[in-house]
Amino acid sequence: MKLRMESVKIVDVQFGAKTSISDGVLYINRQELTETVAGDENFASVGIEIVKPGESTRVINVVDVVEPRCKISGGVDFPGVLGGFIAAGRGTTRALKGMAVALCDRHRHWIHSKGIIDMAGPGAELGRYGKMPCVVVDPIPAGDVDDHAYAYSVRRAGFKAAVYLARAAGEDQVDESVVYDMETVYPDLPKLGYYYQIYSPQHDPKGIPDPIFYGYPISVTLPLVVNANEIIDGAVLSGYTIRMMETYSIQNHPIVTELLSRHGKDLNFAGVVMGVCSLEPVRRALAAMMIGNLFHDTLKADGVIMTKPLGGAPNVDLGVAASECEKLGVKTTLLIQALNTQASLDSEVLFNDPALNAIINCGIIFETAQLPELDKIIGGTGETAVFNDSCKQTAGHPIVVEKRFICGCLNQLGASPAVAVEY
Amino acid sequence: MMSDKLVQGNPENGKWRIVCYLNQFFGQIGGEDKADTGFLVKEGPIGPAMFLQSFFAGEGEVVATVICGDNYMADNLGEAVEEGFKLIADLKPSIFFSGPGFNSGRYGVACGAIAAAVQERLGIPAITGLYPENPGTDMYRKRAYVVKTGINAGTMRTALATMAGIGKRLLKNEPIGSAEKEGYFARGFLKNETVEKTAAVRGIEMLFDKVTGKPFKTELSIPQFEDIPPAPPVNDIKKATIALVSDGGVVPKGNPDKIKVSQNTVWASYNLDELFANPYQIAHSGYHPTEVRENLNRLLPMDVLKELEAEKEFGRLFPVFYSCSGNTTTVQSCKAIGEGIAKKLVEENVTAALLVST
Repeated sequence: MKLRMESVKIVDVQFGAKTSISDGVLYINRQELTETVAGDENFASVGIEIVKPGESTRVINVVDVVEPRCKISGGVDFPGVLGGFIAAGRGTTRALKGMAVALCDRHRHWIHSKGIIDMAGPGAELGRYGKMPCVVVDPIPAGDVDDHAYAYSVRRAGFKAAVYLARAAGEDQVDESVVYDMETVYPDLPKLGYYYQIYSPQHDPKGIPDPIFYGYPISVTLPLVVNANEIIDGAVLSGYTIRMMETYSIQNHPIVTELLSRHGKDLNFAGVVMGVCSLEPVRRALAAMMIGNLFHDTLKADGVIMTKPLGGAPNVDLGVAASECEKLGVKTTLLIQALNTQASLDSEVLFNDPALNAIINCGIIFETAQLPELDKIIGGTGETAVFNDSCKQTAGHPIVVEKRFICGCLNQLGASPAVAVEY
Repeated sequence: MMSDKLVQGNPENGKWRIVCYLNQFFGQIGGEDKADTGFLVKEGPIGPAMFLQSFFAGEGEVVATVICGDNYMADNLGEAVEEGFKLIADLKPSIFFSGPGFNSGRYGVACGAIAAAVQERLGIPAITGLYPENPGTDMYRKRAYVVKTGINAGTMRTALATMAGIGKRLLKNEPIGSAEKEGYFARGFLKNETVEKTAAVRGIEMLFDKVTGKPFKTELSIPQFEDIPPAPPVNDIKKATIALVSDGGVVPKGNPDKIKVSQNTVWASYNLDELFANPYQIAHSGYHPTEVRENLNRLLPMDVLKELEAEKEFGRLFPVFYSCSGNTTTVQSCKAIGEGIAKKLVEENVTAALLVST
C-alpha cells in the first residue's frame, strides 16, 4: 500500500459566507455545515460552534475529536461509516492540520466516559486540543432515543463535518505532501512491528461493542494483520468514549507515523497486528499464541512495540502476548500507563515475566487536575455533571478531573510526553 | 494514611525553630563504649547540627540537639522513640532533622523511626539522610523525607545541604521536585511530569536499542509478586459455612463506607438480605455495571446459593457479605483489604469464601 498524505495548515477558523480557506484561515458557512450534519432522525437539532485558544470556554460531554480529512483519490471517506468497504490507506488523502472537530454527546448518561476541552487556563495547558481552534459539533437528541443508535449518529455527524471541512481545501492550498510507502521492503534493516490492541470489551453495556474497525464492532475478533496505512487513513476509529485514544490521535498515530517515517532509513517497518483484549484466559492464550506467530512467522519481525487501551485487564493481556513474542525471539517494548497516584514505578505493571524488560512509562491516568470556572460552557450547561469520585460537580464551577478526561492530555498510543515520576 | 501535605509551623522571632537528633558519636559523647547512653538534650547545635545551622543563615536556629546512644535506641526502639518524641515535642520545633545516618544500621533505623514519629504526630517536616542499603531507608522512606547519602560521613556536607534545602522549601510551602531530581528516596507517590519526547518516540528508540543489542533502560519495572499457596480444600462441604466476598464494588445506596470507584483502600460488610431488599449502587469504574444494576444475582449469586443451601449441598450461607472495589488498586492495598476480610472470616468461623469478581 502507498498513501499520499497532503497537509493544509490552518491557523484560524471563522464563520463566513462561503466555506473556504484563505491564507490559512478556514471560513465556515455555518448553515451549510449544520445542514450537512443535521439530517439524522436521532437529532432534534445540531449546534455548531467555533472555540479558540485563550477563550474562557469549556467544552464538555466530548466523546471524540477528529482531524478534518477527505479522500482525494483511491478510496472513500471513512469507509464502513460514511462510505462502502474500499480499503483505507491507498491513494491520496487531504488533511487540515492545526485544528480539530470536537464531538459532544449530551444524551448518554455514563458521564465517566466523557471528556472535556478547556480553551484557557491549566486545562488548555494540559490538553492537546485547547491549543488549537476547534469546531464543536453539538447535537441535541430527538427525545428519548436509543443510546447506541444515538452514539452512532453522533459519530457519523463528526466524520461528516470532518470531511465537509477538509473539502474546502483545494490542491493549490496543500502545504506539504508525504508518501507512506509500505510496498518497498528493506531486508537489511532491523524489522520492527507494532501490536495494536485497539479495544477491550470490559465496559460494553449489554455486551454491545463499539464499532471501531471500518465502522464495525470487533470485540471478539482474533488477532489480524492490517496495513499501517489503513490505520492512519480512517480504518480505525475511536470508541464511543474518550479513552485516551481519540480518533484524531489514531489519524496521527504516533507509533505508526514514526515507524513509517523511519521505514527505509534506519529500520524496516515489518507491519501491524491488531487485536482486542481477551477477558478470559483460554481466549487470551490463543490470541497471545497467534500474536507471537504472526510477528515471528508472517511478518518476520525482530521486535515489536505494543500498546493497549483502558486499564488493568488489557495490561495483563498485553503482557501475555508480549511473553509469547519473546519466547519466539521477537523482542518487545510495551507502552503502559501507571494507574495509581500512591504507588511506585515497580507497582504499576500487571505481569512479571523478566523478559519484558523494556516498558515505557506513559503517565498516571488517575492523577487529578484542578480546573477553574470558565465563562462559557459548550456541549451542555453549567449544571451538567462532570465526572469525579463524588459525582457531584458541575461544569459551570471550578472542577477537579482525572487527567484521562482532559482530551489529549494523556494518550495510550504514545502521543503524550507525560511520564509518571516518583515523589 | 499517607499525606502529601505537612502542617506549616510558624517562625519565632522571624526564625524557624530547628531541632536535630544525633547518636552518641556525632553528638560528641563518645564511641561504641557510650552506645548505651540514654537521651540528652543539649541547647543549640552540636557537630553536624552546626553545619546544618549554616545552611539556614539568619532564617532558622537550631534550638537544641537531642542525642541518644545507638544501643539505647536499638534495644527497645518503640519505647525509646516515645521517650525521644516527648523531648522533641517539648522543644516545639518548626522542623526536625535526624542524622544523617549514612550506612549505620542501628543509627539509620533510629533516625528514620524518630523522624517518622515527629512528622506523623507533630505534622511538621522531618528529614533524615541515609544510604540506600541502610535498613532504615525502606522502613521509613514513606513516612518522612529520607535523603539519599553516601556510605559514610565523607558525604556529610552534601547530605546536609540537600536535607536543609528540602527542609527550607517545606517550611516555606514551596514545591519539592521528584525523588530523583531532589535526591530523596521515593515516598510512595507518583506524579505526572512531561519529558521532551513522546512515549511513542521513546518506545521505538528503546525497541530499536533492544533489537540491535544496544543498552537500554526500562521506565517501569516488573513487580515482585509473592507466591501465595492455595488454601487446602474444604473437608466436608455439607457442613461448610460459605461467605460471599466480592471486589465488584456493590454497596448500599449512598455508599456509607465510602468505597472508592478506583484506587480503593477500604472494605466493608453488609447483611445480604438487607442488601438485596434495598436500593444499592456500584462503587467500581472498571466495568459497565448495567447488568449488575438490573439484577444483583449476576454479581452475588444469592439465588443459586439459596437453592443449593435448601438442597443441603453445603452447610449454610453466611448472612454477611464482604465488599470492596478491585479497580486499579495497588497490591499493597489489595493485601491489606484481603487480610482484613480474612481475619474477620476466621473470627466468624466461616469455612470457605466464594470470591466473586467481575
